[in-house]
Amino acid sequence: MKSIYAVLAVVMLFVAACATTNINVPAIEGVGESTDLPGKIVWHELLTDKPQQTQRFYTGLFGWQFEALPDKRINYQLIKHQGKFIGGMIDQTQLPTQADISQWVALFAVTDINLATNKVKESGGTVFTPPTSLGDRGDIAVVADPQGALFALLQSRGGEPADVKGAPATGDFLWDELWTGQTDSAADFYRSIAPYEQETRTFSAGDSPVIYQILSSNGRVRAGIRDNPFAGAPPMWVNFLRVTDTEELDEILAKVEGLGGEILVPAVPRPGGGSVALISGPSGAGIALQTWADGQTIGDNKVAK
Amino acid sequence: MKTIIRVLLRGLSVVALGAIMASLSGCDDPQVYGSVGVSSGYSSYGHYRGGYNSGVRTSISVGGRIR
Repeated sequence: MKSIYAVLAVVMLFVAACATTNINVPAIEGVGESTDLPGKIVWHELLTDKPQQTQRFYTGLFGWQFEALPDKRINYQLIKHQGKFIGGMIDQTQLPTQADISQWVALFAVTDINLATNKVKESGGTVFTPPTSLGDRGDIAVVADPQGALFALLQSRGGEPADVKGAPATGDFLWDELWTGQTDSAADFYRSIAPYEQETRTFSAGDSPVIYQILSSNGRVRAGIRDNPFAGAPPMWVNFLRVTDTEELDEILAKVEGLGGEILVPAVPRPGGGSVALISGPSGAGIALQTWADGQTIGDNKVAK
Repeated sequence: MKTIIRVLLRGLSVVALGAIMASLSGCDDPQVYGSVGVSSGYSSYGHYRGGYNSGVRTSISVGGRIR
């Protein structure tokens, strides 16, 4: 496997040398509302090899709308939900690859993308795309942590969208969670690229305890790190969409297969309350659905005992 | 379960090599996210649906937001 990474690194040099630099992607909505919020996950990109089916899938489940950019070179559509842009969708079929790469990619805010990218390299991670300008969006780098989980770094121009007190709308992004076999070293790695505070929790899941690391920055929880529930599966970031309650979750899950998706893990109760399910869209890109009640508090990093 | 994952990982290795060849031909028409595509074959858990369908569905603890 390491040899493949080595080959990939060489190929990345070619790809980087070919990269255009005059691409312009709109800034993330709300940029400038706040000062820099390093460590905040500010955006999610969906790579899909079935863009039309994927649009129909998410529109059918959550009412998402898709808006194409005028610049057709980018093969990019903004995802709008309840009047707010929450992510983007990239038509994988227009990319120079024929592999099935459909998946969601989370973008982490950093204040100095060159410094953060260097930290990735120094820590044993992989830099697939070096810092690259996306115009108004800022500078992006696509990387993997030392265990191989893929994510992206984004240095916006002029701060990040402000943190809000309430829960996101149902169908919006609620949480991001790293599944990895080495939670402690993973937490150390992510703390090296953003000023995270770390809290370790343990909860029961069946017969064995689950070690859960919570990463916070600027007084807000940002992401979780936990043992990979699938032994032998590679580390990966898993993204969660919010649904209000179990009734709504059941209604959504009932639509999944009819819209061309698949239920990977049906709704199961969570130790902390509510339910969670794992589904995939028509392209196979997976995403989790988690219940979060309207009145449920969210966001601060006070330790809840 | 382990056997299934091992087979899947071997398949992904082949996929990744195929992606490498495809990416080289893409240099004439570079795409800003092209390199994402090459790199990401390892990470999509959509690829692991065979594992999910192997009798482990209801025993999985997905996790999720705590607070």
